[in-house]
Amino acid sequence: MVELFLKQLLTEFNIAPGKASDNTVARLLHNAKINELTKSIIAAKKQAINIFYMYNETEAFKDTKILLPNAVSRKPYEYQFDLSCFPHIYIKEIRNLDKVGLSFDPASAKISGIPTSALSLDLQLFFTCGQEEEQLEEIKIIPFIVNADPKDLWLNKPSNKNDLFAKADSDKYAGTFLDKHIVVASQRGRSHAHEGLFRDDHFCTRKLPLDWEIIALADGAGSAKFSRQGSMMATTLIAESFHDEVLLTELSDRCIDYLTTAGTTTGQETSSAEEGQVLKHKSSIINILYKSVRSLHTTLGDFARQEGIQLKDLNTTLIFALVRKFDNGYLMLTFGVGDCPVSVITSDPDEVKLLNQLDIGEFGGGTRFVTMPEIFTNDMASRFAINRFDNFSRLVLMTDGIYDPKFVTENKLENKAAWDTFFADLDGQNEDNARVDFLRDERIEDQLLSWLNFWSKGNHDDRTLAIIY
Amino acid sequence: MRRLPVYLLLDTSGSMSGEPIEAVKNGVQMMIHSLRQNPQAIETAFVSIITFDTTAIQVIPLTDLASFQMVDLKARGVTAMGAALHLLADKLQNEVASTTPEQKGDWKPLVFIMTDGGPTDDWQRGHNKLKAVNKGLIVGCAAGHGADDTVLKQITNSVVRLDNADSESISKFFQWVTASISTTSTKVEESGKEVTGLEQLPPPPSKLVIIA
Repeated sequence: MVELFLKQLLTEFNIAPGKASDNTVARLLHNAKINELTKSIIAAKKQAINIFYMYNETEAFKDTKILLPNAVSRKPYEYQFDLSCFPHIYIKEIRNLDKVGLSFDPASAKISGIPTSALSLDLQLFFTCGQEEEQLEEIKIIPFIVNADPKDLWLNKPSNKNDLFAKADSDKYAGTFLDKHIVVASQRGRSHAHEGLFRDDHFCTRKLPLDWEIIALADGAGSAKFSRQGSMMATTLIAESFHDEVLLTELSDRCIDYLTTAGTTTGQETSSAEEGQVLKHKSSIINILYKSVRSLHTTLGDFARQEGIQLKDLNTTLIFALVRKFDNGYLMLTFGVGDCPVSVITSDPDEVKLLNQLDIGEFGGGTRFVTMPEIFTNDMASRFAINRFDNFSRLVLMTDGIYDPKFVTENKLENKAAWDTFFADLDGQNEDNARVDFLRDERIEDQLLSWLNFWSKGNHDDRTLAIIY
Repeated sequence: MRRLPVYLLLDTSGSMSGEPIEAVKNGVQMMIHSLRQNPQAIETAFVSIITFDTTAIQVIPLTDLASFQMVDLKARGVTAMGAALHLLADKLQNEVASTTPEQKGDWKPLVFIMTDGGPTDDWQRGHNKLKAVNKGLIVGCAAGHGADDTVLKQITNSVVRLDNADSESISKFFQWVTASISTTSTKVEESGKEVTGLEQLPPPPSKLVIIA
């Protein structure tokens, strides 16, 4: 050690090696003073290099980009610093973290907690490197973002009650329907509430003469200025149009004809004459329904003219089910234009049936509205359906504000498993534990209305759901 | 959940160095900050950044606004816009979900291409690939005097021009991009329809002129 030190020293002082210098070095190897000096110089160098390492680690740490994942207000947050490349770095404190309600544990180098507020800020990391008198203390700045919980960003502005065609932001109803029960609720979507706009959905249910009952739902087009009025008129007027004893007497008779003919042919070989009879009765029923829809379309047109607005300003979808219990079961006369489904769930057999064909935007060339003259063409008949059920457990009508989040795609509306999940959800199997209790009839309409407030990312349309059970 | 994919193709060639590149970084930061306050945008909009200089790189993959973290951008090299279009086509294919009977795919993407020059590579090759893939709206932005809008006009019918590539103009451009993303995220959620042209986006500020 001493020899190496002396040789390096001689080189440093440009003393050329030679016999004399070699002898001198050999002699000095045992010199006490030289030995002492060598030790202290090596120690001093070691100390200096340690200081260098310390500063170097500090600089490297300051330069390292540490990305803290963004936090979300009210959602538990945890971040573990990885200091494996910085063995001498110790983070003592993180300032500003308390501003968002998080805390830092120096021993585990971990940030944790539940952020209380949405904020973008610079965190100040107070850290040390090394020990005792050589310890360095520095600050590193790390930007940190706490996002708002999207739920907090939605405003709930009341709609303007003084506006033209104002309507309530929600509506609900519960009562009997034939020998069953009905519950309906309709809630303005968050996207409308955020801007103080009206609910565009509407529903109407009526008890009619001769033991008929009707339930109608409509979803006013988001792009139409007065679709809130369109959906209100469509549901109310169609329901009222059947409040007519003469019409319903005729309808009941045609239905009995139909049921009698169709009933005798069920399960047997049908002759073409019988088939022709069934078809004839079917078409006379559809004709009666058709007239009501046609007259609704005309009334909407007249109304638009009267008000000096365009008919398309009232654009709305419409579905309805006109139901009566006959001796041999429930007869459901249904109609649909647009993308809202009418579905029946039977327990024996355990099945689900979609009663109307949906006009789906992406594949069907855009959704259709009852305000469109072009729906009254040849395929209009296919919008009506006549179905008889011995019994049913649920008859469900809904707007897309419900099935988009709950069924995702339209073809799931015919999937029994998807319906089982849906009813389990209504029964309280959801994150809010919101439950609609179909067994006890206490304020079931309020239960349904609060269930409609379920949270679903990206789905904030008006929601209307009618269940006959 | 149906996402609204937003791709920003940003020119980071040498001519962007200094004020313009700083303004672009700032613009993106402000855009993200502002969109985060919009409940519809924060739930639906996903943003990706592709930069192009001598090469094209996706510096940020398609990311939701809540987890988005801006990276540093450096201006250098030439303008490989063709490579950027090619990369965009790849990403549209791989990152954007299409609709199947089992799931609803993402909304049609919004693409903003900003350049202060003209392509220095074979842009048509990239463009051909993109044409086969893209279903969304592409908006071109020619920033400053040196920007060649003839190529942008061949890529899309929606082209805007900034008279200057200074920080004020660039910041105005990003404000308009922000408003456009907000509008689109609201529109898709409320009406289920995507925007198909410039006329459905908010009116651009005075610094920004629609030229195609």
